[in-house]
Amino acid sequence: MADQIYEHGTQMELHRESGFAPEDIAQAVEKILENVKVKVL
Amino acid sequence: MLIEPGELLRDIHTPEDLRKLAPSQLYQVSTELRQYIIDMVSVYGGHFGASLGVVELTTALHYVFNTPDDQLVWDVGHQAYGHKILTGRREVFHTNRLYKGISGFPKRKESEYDTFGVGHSSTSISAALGMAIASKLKGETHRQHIAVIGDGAMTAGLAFEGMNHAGVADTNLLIILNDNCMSIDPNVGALKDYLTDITTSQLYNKFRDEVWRILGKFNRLGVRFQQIASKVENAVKGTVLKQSNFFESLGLRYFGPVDGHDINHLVSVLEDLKHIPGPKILHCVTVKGKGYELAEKDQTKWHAPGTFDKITGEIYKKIYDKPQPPKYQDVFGHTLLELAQQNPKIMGITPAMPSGSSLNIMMKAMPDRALDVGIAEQHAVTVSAGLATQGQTVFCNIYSSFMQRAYDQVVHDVCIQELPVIFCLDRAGFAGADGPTHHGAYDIAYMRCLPNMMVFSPMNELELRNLMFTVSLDEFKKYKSAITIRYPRGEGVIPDWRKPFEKMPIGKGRIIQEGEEVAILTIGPIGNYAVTACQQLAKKGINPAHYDMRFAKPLDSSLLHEICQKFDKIITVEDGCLQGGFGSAVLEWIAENPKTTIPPK
Repeated sequence: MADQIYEHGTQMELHRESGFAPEDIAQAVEKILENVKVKVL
Repeated sequence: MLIEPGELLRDIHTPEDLRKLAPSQLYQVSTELRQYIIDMVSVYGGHFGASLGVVELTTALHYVFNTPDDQLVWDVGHQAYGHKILTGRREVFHTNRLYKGISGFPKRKESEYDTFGVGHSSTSISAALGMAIASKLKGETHRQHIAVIGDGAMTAGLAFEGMNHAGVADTNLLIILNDNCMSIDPNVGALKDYLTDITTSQLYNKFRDEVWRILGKFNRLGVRFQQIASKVENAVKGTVLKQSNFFESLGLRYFGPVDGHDINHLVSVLEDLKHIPGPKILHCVTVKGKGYELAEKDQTKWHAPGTFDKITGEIYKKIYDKPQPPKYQDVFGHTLLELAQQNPKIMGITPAMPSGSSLNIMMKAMPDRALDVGIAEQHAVTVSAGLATQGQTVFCNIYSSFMQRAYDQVVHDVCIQELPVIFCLDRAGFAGADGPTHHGAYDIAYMRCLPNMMVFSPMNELELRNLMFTVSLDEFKKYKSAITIRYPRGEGVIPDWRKPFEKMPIGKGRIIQEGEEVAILTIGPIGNYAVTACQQLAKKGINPAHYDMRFAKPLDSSLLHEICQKFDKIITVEDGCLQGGFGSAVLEWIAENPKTTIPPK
């Protein structure tokens, strides 16, 4: 989680907002393979 | 679904509207407010019983006091639905606790009527006192400051600290003790017995009514006469109760107990109290779940029941055609009982969360060895430390965000003294609808930095169960270290979790999937997201490696050597804060081991 206050919602909604839902992890892998700087969340 | 408010409630958009009504209309307002809460929570979910219990009190407070100029602080805040509905949020109340909707707790950013953000218990007296002191300094002597605190929240040390200060601070502070004998579970402890004693003393109550009548007359005669009346009143209270009044001994004028559901009497009493200067406490007796019979009868079940049929009381549950994984808390509860049946040294401690932590399973079977110590996290940690000094194997279960309240006890009473207390931190990571006050975001960071503290998180139910077994063995005590076991709210991933215990290696991770080019390092149940991500990536021909590191401390150094010699691209994933968390731990390790690693990206 980034250095911010996350509000309420379902756990999955919050995981998506904070960037570590499954699709976010997959996307991070793809980006790091492309040598794109991954935004740290 | 359109839910219509009653005919009076419909036109109340702010407390100003409420205050235009005649006192004789307040009963109807309360009735409509209660029905509206029942209608809304039955459809949209949320906390239920607590708000029903303070409908009359909420109405009376906003009617008598000039909110928001007079400042009203709700303790905990899950009882503040009526307050939200009366203060401009009725039309958005259907978004309560939903993503991007209004908060389930008072929140300063949401409304000027929410004077203080809450979610955890026992903060209201200190917060309201701070406001009262500021008003006094600014010469705003007309302003009133009201803290509404439950008898459960009153058991916490912070509430006592607030009262201890309030008693000598000479401010316009009114503490309203909302006494319903409940926290989420039935309230515990000696204070509960004391309050019951006051409430049920017929002789005292007879004298109280008479004194109240006399006091009303004296109030109109000035301060000197009030002081005389107060002395008479105190003498009566002391004589009849055969002990000095606890609150009065702290310098607070004590009034009550009064029926918290008699709206007309409440208005009358609050009007009187408004004109009595100084710190004072009004003891209101209420019923949690008032007005909804099922909620009155089973107050724990109806604390936050989810959606339900308001006519039949049927609580809606999802129906599945195959067995579902259990909640992590239930794995904890059943496993602890199983272990305790084999090991007489095992004890369980919870600060007022028997049902929320599922320690109630062991409490029912072994009431002497599983203890609810009240809303008192600091005490829970230190009493666990005390038990550990005597060789007991203590599982102290505290929600991750509530453990923040007991940090010094963890450092001073556990870690420095090398005591092997086992902290089970439920609700680690995002807590969901309860929001930021309840997210267990920081525990990896705040526990990892402590000497004599290990930090573990299970990827699934079996790992939780097996680690609990491992640390319950006497040989764990040789480490002279406490351990934090963190797990999230909600269900795991393995329906068939009741397997024989297996010992786990301390400080060792495991490989989930071999791969190429990139290594994903996870800790805890979030690792299951990584499994899904790997499945998605495999369809694209990408095959990262995945490691479940299990421990944020101690890190598995040999596994990290292996990973870092093989991969120059590493991604860490955790359900916690970035700074100081598991990812930081891996970066620190890499910085300390530069020669054995390829520079990571």
